[in-house]
Amino acid sequence: MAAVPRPNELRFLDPAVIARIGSMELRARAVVEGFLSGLHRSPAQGFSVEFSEYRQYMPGDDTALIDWKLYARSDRHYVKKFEEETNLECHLLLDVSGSMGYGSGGVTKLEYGAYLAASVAYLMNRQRDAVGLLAFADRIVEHLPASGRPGHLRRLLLALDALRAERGSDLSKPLDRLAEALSRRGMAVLISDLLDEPEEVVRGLRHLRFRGVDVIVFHLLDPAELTLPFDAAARFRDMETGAELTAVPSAVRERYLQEVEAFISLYRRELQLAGIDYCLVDTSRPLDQALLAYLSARGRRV
Amino acid sequence: MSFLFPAFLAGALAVAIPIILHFVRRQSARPLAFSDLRFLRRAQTAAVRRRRLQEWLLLALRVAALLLLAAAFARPYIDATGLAGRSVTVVALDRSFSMSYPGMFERARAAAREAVAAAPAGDLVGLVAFDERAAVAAQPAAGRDAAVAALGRTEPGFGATRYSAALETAAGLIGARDGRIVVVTDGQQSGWDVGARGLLPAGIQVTARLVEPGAGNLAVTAFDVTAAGAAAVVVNTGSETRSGRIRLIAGGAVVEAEELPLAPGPNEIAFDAALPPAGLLEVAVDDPGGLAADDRRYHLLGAADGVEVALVGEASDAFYLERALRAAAGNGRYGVRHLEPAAVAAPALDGVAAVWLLGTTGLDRAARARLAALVAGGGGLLAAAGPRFDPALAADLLGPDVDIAAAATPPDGASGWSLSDMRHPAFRVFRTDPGGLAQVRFTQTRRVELPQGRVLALFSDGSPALVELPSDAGRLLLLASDLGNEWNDFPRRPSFVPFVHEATRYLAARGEAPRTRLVGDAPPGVEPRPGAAVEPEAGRTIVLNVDPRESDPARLTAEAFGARSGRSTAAAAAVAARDDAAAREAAQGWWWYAILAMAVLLLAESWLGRAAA
Repeated sequence: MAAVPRPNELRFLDPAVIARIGSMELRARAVVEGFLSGLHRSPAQGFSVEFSEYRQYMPGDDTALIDWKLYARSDRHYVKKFEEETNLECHLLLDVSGSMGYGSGGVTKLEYGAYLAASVAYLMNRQRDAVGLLAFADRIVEHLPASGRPGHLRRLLLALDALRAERGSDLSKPLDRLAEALSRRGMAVLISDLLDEPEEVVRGLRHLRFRGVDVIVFHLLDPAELTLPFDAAARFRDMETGAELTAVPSAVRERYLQEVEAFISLYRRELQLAGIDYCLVDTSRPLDQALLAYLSARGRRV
Repeated sequence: MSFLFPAFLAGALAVAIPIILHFVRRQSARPLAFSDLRFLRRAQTAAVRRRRLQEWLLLALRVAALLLLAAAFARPYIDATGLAGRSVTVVALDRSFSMSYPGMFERARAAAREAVAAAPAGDLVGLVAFDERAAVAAQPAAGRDAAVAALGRTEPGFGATRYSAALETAAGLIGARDGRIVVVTDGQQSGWDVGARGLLPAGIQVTARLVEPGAGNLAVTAFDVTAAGAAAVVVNTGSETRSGRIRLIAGGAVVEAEELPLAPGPNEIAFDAALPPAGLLEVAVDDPGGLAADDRRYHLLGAADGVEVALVGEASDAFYLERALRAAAGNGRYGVRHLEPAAVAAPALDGVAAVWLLGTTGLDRAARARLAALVAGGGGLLAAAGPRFDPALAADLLGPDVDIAAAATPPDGASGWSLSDMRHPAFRVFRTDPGGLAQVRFTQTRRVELPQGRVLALFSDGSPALVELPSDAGRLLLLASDLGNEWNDFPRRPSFVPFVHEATRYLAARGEAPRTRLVGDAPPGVEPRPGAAVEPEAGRTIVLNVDPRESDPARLTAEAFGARSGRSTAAAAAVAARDDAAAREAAQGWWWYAILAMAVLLLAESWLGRAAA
């Protein structure tokens, strides 16, 4: 069970605040430490090589966790709890297509995604999990194989800091390549606005899932994409293709929101059917929501 | 459709403003980078058709509103013929009774048909039938059939000739266009009003087609009844003496008849028969080869009542006037009382119907108020602005707008006067012979200027001599000289007595129209033909006689006619243009509809604009 951060720590998770922090490492640390300090208990207790504490057995606890030696000595049932430590291999898939460069509130989706990826990497590093990075647009831009060695996190964070939005977008190809390249079961975290052909994206994710990879999808959308808050008529220019479209937002808003809702619902439904965790993230919201979703998924994986 | 002020149509260029704004606004939509256009494109596809339709509809509404505004300012009017701008030929056919010699009107119709046929091919052709009044018999049209058909329907009446009425009506039909007026007439010389101004714009030509009148005519030009009996004047317009049977008819029965030799010119005939106290009296002369309309003249017995006349002024001013009135008073027609100005008071004016104001010395405010009350009560007043007349004191009576010179001046140039409105009842007896008045010589006159009023006679220098001032109930005349033989010799002229009698009769009419009138003065609802008739409104019997001027054989040549009608002044052109504009103004009320439609369009635009926002 997870607890939410206290309000006074939320400021460390606000993407606008994080954006003002100097380096990606410091950002990730600020996010994760702030996040963790806000939790009442560790959200990821389970198997670990490091003993944590005893707790009296409660109905519903796994009987395999009962310390029978302690029972022999005390005639009471206790379960052992350990700090979690696994050899999980996690791959961060970050979309750096042109549309990810959009941001209406000072933080672009790519920046938000990079903070999220950095935070997840930092968390995994604390958990001693192996973490890798695959940044892609219509091609793979950056690839760091998963590793849990010291110094790897720093390389990964530097790579995240250096990422810039590309022009094109093709999600399915990198997903296929990753699925083919993975040699062992692991976890994949896709951070993208998913503005591609949904059928192709879902097919690629299914491919990963078929290879035994647990997938969690962070669907990043800017609040302007979610609400279309503009008033005056504008010539909208596509950030990937450069195509232009003149529209009066007030005239098209209702239909636009319906289209966006259908788009989100499609992913939510299809990914749920594929056993893939889906988390819609509003890039104006703090990062804790996304981190909690990640930890929840990781808990199930472990 | 045409426009009264087409220059305002240039305002229609303003439609470019919303059009430019429409496209500029479309182009000036700010650029905005956006992540992906797929959802916008799908939403736009659904909304764009409706939006585009709304935008074009808005544009159309704005453009239409501006066009309507420009059209409203240009004052559209519908030309019923749809033939505005083409030149016009108007044939004016004289239907006065002088055209009714046997066979004469047929010849006039034929001449008119020729005039219609001779109109230039591109001209519109219209027809005006006229005597004293003119009526449009056929509106100008491209075809000639309407005019020819109207010719067939036109018959001679009992009115007198009045060319100015015909020319004004014809000029009104032509309007601002070029045109020709062809007057088909017998060239009656008396048809031109004395002093009448030319009323034709320069773009209108006038020609006359004269129809030869009959050879001779006997006409009863005057008929009056005095205490001595009935008397008539029969004019023989021929060059030889001819006999004519004269009959006096009372109540439909011939009371006296006699065959008399009638010399060329006027023949005065006195009747001996005793007359009944009341009823219709008629004198007739047999004239089979002449005009039938002037063979009879009517008189209504018992219609004239004795009236009281007051002469206000010093005795020397009233001397001639009193004797002139006494001459008629001997016949029991007027009761004359002379009043010094200081003696004018309510009892002294009791029963007085007409006042001759000959001097104002001693005329106090109460007396002026009494005289004004008399006029306001329907009485008549003639003010003679002689040597003892103070214009400042007369302002109470004549109104503040009349400007009478305080000092007398000798008239410029010739010192006579002439009638400018011969149809006025005060000059009834001078219609056949206005020359009697022309003999009068004026040595001193006062300059009179007035913004409104009717000028009845002019001095030789063109300044007003006798004017009628507007009065609600009574009658008000002003003579710019005296009647006491000081500033003119009028009292010693033969025309003085009849003038005094007719003017007094007019002043004493107490607002009532006379019971003996000319056909042209027939009241509404009474057929304009000679004889007795009953006024529909008053319910009293009146008699109508033909205008004796029409029996005058004097004729104009075609050249003389053209010279008279060809006078055109800038003022006359302005009058015609004003009349034309006034006619078009009356014909175009469409700008209201344009404004109304524009308001509706703007309301729709406002509603649609809000819906589209």
